[in-house]
This record gives sequence, C-alpha cells and structure tokens, in this order.
Amino acid sequence: MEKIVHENQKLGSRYFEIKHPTGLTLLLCPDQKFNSAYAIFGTNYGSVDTTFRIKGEGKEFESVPEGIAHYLEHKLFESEDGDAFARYAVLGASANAFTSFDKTCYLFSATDHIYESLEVLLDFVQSPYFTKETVEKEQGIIGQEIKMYDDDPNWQVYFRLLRALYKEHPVRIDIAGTVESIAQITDKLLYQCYNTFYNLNNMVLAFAGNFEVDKAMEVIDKTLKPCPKLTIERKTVEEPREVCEHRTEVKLPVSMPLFCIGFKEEPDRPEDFIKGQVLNEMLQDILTAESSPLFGELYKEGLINMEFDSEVVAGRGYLASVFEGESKDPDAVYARILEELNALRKNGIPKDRFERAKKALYGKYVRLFNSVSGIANELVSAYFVGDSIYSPVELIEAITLEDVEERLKTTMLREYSAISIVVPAEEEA
Amino acid sequence: MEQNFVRTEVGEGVYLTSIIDQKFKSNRISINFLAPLNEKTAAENALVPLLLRKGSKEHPDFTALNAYLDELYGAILYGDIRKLGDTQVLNLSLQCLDEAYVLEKEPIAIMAMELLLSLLLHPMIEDGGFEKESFGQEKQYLADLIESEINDKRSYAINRMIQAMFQGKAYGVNKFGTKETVDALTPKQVASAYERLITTAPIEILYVGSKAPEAVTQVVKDAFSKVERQVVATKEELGTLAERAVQTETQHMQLSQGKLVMGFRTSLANDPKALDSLRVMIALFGGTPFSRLFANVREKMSLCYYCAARMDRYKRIMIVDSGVEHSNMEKAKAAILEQLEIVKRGEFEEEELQNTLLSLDNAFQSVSDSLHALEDWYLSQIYTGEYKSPLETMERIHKVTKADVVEAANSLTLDTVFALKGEEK
Repeated sequence: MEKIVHENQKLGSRYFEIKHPTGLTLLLCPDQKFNSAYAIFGTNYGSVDTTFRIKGEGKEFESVPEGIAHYLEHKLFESEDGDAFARYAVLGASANAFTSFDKTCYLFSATDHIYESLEVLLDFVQSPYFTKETVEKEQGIIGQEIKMYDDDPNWQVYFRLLRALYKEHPVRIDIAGTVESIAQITDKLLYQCYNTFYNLNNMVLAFAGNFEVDKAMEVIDKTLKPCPKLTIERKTVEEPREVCEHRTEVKLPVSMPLFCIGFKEEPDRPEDFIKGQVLNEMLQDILTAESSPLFGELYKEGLINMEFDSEVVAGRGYLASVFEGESKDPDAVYARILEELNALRKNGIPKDRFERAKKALYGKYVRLFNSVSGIANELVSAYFVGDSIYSPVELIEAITLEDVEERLKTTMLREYSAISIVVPAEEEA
Repeated sequence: MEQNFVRTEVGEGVYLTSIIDQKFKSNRISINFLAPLNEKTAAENALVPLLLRKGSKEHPDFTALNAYLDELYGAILYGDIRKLGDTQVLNLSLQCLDEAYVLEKEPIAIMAMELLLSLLLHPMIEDGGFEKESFGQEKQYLADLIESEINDKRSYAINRMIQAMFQGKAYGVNKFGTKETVDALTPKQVASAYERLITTAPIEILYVGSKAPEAVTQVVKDAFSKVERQVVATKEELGTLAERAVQTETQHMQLSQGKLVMGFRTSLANDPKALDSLRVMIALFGGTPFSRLFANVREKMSLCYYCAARMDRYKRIMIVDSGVEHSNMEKAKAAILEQLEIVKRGEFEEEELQNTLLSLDNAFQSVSDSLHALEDWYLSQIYTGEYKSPLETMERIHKVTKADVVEAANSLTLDTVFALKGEEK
C-alpha cells in the first residue's frame, strides 16, 4: 500500500495518507495526547450533485430530486436488523452525520471501544438497506427538519443570498430539498445514488486522536469490501458570473433586519482552491475585521454590532465572499463596503493592515488543530480539494502584499454582488 | 489523561484555577464575576463585560485594541453574560496561540494576561461614568441581544418556559435584563455596577494551557494587590419547588413549525446521589440518539426532527423540548408523557441503562479534549463547591442502579408547558 507522510514540524503534527487496495483513501492522524478518537467516513457527494452518470456506461445524464443526498444520509443509518445508533449505543460512542453542498460525512467520537466503533462506522455505511416503507417513514422527520429551517431567519437569509447570486448552479437549492421534492424520493433512486457515489474510490476515511495505526488498519482491512473502479461524471452547468438579482428581501419574525452580502467570484483552478480561499479570507479581514477602519466607523454609527462576520463559501464550481450581520440599515452597510473596496483598489492596501491580517489568519488556522473534530474535518475537506491540511498555514506564511493586491483586482466586484435581507414582520395584533 | 488542576487565591476573594494540558495549541484565560441574579441589577451588570471588551485607559481606541489582538495572532477577546442557577456570571475571556506556535517568539501568555487585566481594572470611566460614546453603542447592543432572542425559536421557547416556571424567582430573570431596564441605564449607574462587582463579587479566573502559569499568576497577584475588596458570597436557592397545578402558556407567531417545551420539577432533595440518579434518568429518557424520546417520538412515530430531554443541574429540573407540527402538538405531548410513565414503571431494559452509562462515560472523558468544555466543567465545579474532575464524577455515576433511575423518574412532575404556535388560520 502506498503511504505518504504529511508533516508540519512547526505545528508538531503529522498524518499518513494511504491508498487502500479497495480504492478508499485513508487519512490517519494519531495523537495520544487526546482522550478521544474522531472518525469521519465521507463521500465526495452532496446536495449539488443532482445530475450525473457513470463514465463508460453509455447513458444520458440523469437528474434526481433535490435533497436526495441528505435523505440518503438519514436512511443509511437503518439496516435490516436495526439502526446504527443502536450498534454504537453498546460501545458508548457518540455518532452523527451531516450533508453539505459537496460532501456527506458519517462520524463518531469515542473514548472507549474505539476500534469496534470504527468497525460499526465502516460496516453500516457499506450496507445500504432501503425499502418502500422505511423510505416513506422518513418523510415526516425530514419534513419537520425542513420546516425548522423555514423558520430559521439566519438560514433563510443565507440561502436567499445564494439564490440571488446563482442562476443555474445547484448550490442555490436547499440541502434538505423541499417537502415537494423529497416526496419524489424512492428506494430505487436511493440505491442509484448510493451505488454511484458511495463507491470507495469516491470516499475517504479520516481518523484523528487517540488510536494506534496498526490496530486501525486491522479493522479497516477486515471491514472494507472490494469495490469496482468507477468514474463519476457530474453534469457541469454553465454558470455566468452575472448574478440573478442584486437585492432580495423577505419578512419573517425577527427583531432587527438580518443581512447577507455576497460577491460571486470566478472559481479558482482546482490546484489553487485553498490559495484562492485564503486570499479572499485575508481580503475580507483587511476590509471588515474588527481591527479595520470600516468596522470601527460602521460600529460607531450604529450600523453593525458584534454579530457582524465574514466567510468564504467555496466548493465544486462556486466561490463567494460573504459578509453577514444585523443592521437597522443593511443597504447602507452594503454601500459602505463597496465604497471601501473602491478606496482600497485606488489607494492600495496599507502594509501594516496586510501584516496584521496575515498573523490573525495564521492564528485562526492553527486553532483548528486544538480539537480532534477540527483535525478530522479539515483532513476530509483538504483531501476532497486535493490538498494537505497544512496547506493553509504554509500558504499564509508565503503570501505577499502584491498577491493580495493582485487578487483584489478580480474579486469582490460590485457588478457581481447581491444583498439578501430579512426584515421584521409586522407585530401581530 | 487527567489534568493537573490547581486553585490558588490571588487576591481577596479572587481565585486563579489553572488546568494544564499539553494537547492544545491555544491558551484560554477567562475572568468571571459571580453576581446574584435579580431584576434590579441584571441589565446594569450585563452591560459591564460588553463595555470592558471595548477598551481601557491603556487601550482607549477600539480599532487599535482590535489591531493589537491581530498582532497576538488573532487572539479572541470576548465579553459574555452567562447564567449558573441563581448567579449571573459576567465574563471576559481571551484565547490566544500557545507560545510554542508563534512566529516571532513573542511572550504571548504574559501579553494576553496584561491586556486582560488592563481591560478589567482600568476601564474607561471618567467622572464616575462610563465613556459616553461606547456606552451608547453597547447599551444599544444589549437591547438588540434581548430583542433578537426571538430569532432562534428553539432557545427562545426554552427561555420562555424557564421564565414561566420560575416566575418571581431569581432563576426566572433574563440574564441580559429586560428591554425596559436596559433603556433606562445611565453611564453612572453602570460605572457603579462595575465598582460593586470589582470590590464585592467573587472573582474566578480560569486558565487552560500547556504550561503552569507561574509568571501569569504573579502578574495577577500584583494587579489585585492594588484593589480593595470586601467580598459578598452568592447564594443558591436549593429547596425543592412547591407543588402546583400545571402552568400553561402559549404564544402565536408566523411559523411553519411549532415548538413545545415542558418543564418538570423533582421532589428529590439536593444531594449528589440524587443528582446522579436524575442525570442518568434524564439521559436515558431523552439525552441520546437511542433514548426513549428519540427512538419512539422521533423514529417510531415520525412526529419531529428533534425531541430531547436535558437537566438543569443547578435547579434540578428536566426540560423536554421538541419541534412539531402545530396539529401534532397534543399527540407529541401525550407521547412524551407516555414514555415517562414507562420509565416510572421501570419498563425498560437493563441494557438501556448500561448503554446510557457508556454514553455518559464518553461525554465525561471527552471534556478534557476541549478548552471550552474544560473551562465550563471547572467553573461549574467551583460554583457548586464539588471540585471533582470529570473522571471522578464518571466513577460516581456508575453506582446508579435501575431502581435509582425509577425513583428519579417517579420524583418528576410536569410543572410548566410553553407552546410556540403558528397563527391560527
């Protein structure tokens, strides 16, 4: 088995990347200083993968209902002889799963019975069991999950922004789908998605914390089932840089308007994925971090409060720089951010602000190594974009002021931006 | 791995508790004032950590203060308000990189502690009042925090239930105060609240990091040697809640999903053994994905996405909450009560108890893997005066038997129901 050692001496951290004969990639990061071990078995498959085919089968692209990746995540916990939670229960492990735009992850955290828990994880994810009855039963639970998000103003303001920014890309659809779309999901469709995306060649196992590599390998060798090699073709959509609409607004029961301001960016080449993300994060910090003049002014004028934040949203075929918060006048915040961007482009970025943003971002990425969950999640994310978990820390040290100024020429442009606002619904009588 | 846990008095009623653990790449220092929670002082106290976060005599400019935090590798400075039983905890914390990982060999631990002490001991108070501009901003923010509680429907509904259950008692008071009391605050009033806290409130400083903070301890001792203090201890009302008919409250809102919250009181006395039994019983009932509530109300009946039970250990109450369709609310309530009856009758397997204990083991053993969890754990231990490590508590929990669980279940009575419903069509 091919074994690559990734290491960062400054962080005193290393992990092994192993290509298992079954096709699964293993990322093992043992560290006995922790009490717990944290495993993630993930597939490179999320809510955006709605139209696909298997290469070489000679079939047309096929579309599946919105929300099916998330539905599949729920149903995989069930097997013919009970559910996975019951199997974990006798081991004391704490288990969960989540579906995002571009991945589905099954995880557990355990301090005892670590290897048995690993066996449960690998086994149940490889053992689908869907019937008409079990699929129907889940509609009630997921229907309530969707309604919970309908009532969540932070979720609404965020997804409405993505729908304003993207015309075609499936990042604009809700991860859990809608009550209508999930009604179309059948056991047959679940098997079709499972057999395509849960192929071990499309998956990864990340394991971090208190375990021994040899003992983990024993379980892995015993539990993984051989898998035919397959290549998935995802239908790529033609997404123009232009946004769908520049402004969207909805009324919900909130106390003060919530906003999300987004800039739609040209996605970077896959090999520059992390670099692009880090550059945009650094620019966001220079622009609106708490240490920026703009933050200070907006705060003084009562236009933002400490809830203000920024993030980069990125995945296969999409990249957006997002600023979010609460404000009595979100449009004014939007205008001021655009103004400040123009000023930075015109006058250049002050060196001291660049240096500070660099230190702050370095600290932020080192912090991820404080927890086994942080390490395991980063392992999976970095792997799916073809990189190592140490890349952000290493890239940040090397970034220059010129890199950031160059980036600012093509990023966070007014014409490719939008604002989403949730305004308070009128008081009921 | 058990941490090295040391508690020293560093000033009159000021304690520094250090928890040393090599696994973290950051250090965390958290300073906590413990104040009695009451309607009169909740708002003025709550504004204090928000104002301390804004600056000090040495760091008067907010933007420059934040720039200094960036220099400390993006150190996270936070002013926060918490509630532990009848106590309002006013908190100022700083998390920064451990010295081993900085790029320019800065003595970052001392720099961080000095910054915190400056913010804590030299606030921007002039002529007996907080600096007006900052005061206006933070007063508005505190009012916003109170009003925006409605944004998160789940926690809003839980808070409303607690307020109804503990009406007229300290625990029923909102930790931020009310909109009205916040609106009436003046810079002088909050400055005297600060004076009262710094001279009379017990102060608990927690440090979690990789090295014994000897140098840091000295800095804190020196700083507090200049503060004159006369400490007033906080008290917790420990009696059992009086018997009464079930209180019901309903609120209507534009919603697609309703929220149901049920509060249960116990007749068990306040002793560690009873608490252990209650803790295990509540976890078995609704604290895990194989619990009674999850397996039946969610999985079997498909009534909701979440239905969970939790314990408030200071008030010894059980809170059950669920997000359900408006039309299913009565059905969900009946199902929850039916599961409780089953536990009361002892109609559950010994295996459920054993699995619940395993799950609690995992939770206790994981505490030491998180800076935040360690801080929360030890602050809670200090508050209750138990001073037990997670592993010691875990060992004790294992003495809980099935009979204890049944007894704990039978001690519970439904006290208050709060429902958040959509508008009637």
